[in-house]
Amino acid sequence: MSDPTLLVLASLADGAKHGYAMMVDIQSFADIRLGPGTLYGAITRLEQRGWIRPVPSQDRRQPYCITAAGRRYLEEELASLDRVVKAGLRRLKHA
Amino acid sequence: MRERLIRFAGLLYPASWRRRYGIEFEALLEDTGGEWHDALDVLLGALKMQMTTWNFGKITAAFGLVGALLCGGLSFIAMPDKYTSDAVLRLTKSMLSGDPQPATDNTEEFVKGLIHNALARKSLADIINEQGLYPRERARKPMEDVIERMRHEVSFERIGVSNAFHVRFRYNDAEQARRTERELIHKLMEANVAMRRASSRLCTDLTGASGCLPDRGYNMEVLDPASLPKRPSSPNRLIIAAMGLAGGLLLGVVTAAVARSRRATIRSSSQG
Repeated sequence: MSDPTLLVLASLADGAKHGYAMMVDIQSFADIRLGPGTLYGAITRLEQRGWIRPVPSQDRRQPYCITAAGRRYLEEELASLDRVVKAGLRRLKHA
Repeated sequence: MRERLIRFAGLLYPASWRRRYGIEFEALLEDTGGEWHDALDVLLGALKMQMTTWNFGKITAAFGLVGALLCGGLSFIAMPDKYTSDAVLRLTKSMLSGDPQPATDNTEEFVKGLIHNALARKSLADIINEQGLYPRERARKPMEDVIERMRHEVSFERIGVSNAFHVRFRYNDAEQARRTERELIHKLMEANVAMRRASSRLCTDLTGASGCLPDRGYNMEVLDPASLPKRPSSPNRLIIAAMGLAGGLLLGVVTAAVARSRRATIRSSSQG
């Protein structure tokens, strides 16, 4: 799972975060370091699609939170990935 | 240096994007510290973002420009300049006043035979060794391959229906091209003499000395000696760049069409 948009959505699933917090979080749970360009590319796409939105803040670091549509999309994608993971593991066991 | 590069790369994002995300993006860059791979990442991010905001024409034009620059640049790296030395020779049938006019013009056939002899393996191997041509190729490849390569660089062209023809030799050094061209002309002259002698001998063998008319053959004269090329004759970098431009434009049209359809898909999925 290296799709930056999914990683950002997964990072925001437990609460709002700003860019740097997302980078650190993603590195800790997926062991993937998203560069600033890649991260903000994903943030831009996700905001355009209405899957995340900015949280009002006074800080220069802008936090984002996941929207209901984003959460639905993430659930669908994770369920699909889960099916692939389970099938793969099952087949590996029986091989 | 790195931070400056990253900041510069950040400026390459579209103005509308910078208005919306600029401040928070800068804050993120300050937090990350700015590694070398971040600079590349920001640069690629800027390029991608530019492309998402570009219209059909801009994408096509950018691809065309990149194609032209890439092909033009590669032609400088991969294709060295080549110089063509040119000489003009004329063959005239040696005739006395009482000789009958030949029924057919067999100059073409004669020239073919002449070229065949002049470009024979031994003849070219001698020139290559004497002139020290193709040193790199000779170090790596068998002599046969080097000779074949040289054959491709020699050309003959008859001028209209006249008995004059161009002899050209192309090489990556102008002076050496001229020296080799002179040597080729010398070999052609030798081949001409050899062919006349051979034809005379054949006639004598078949009919006896008394049955043969004195050999008339062809006289060869040099109308224009081997030229010293002032400018490279190839590669034509303008044409190569134009081909790159055409290829880039084509690729740009396809990319722009794909980008347009992807944007439409994203719009409809986010609306749905």
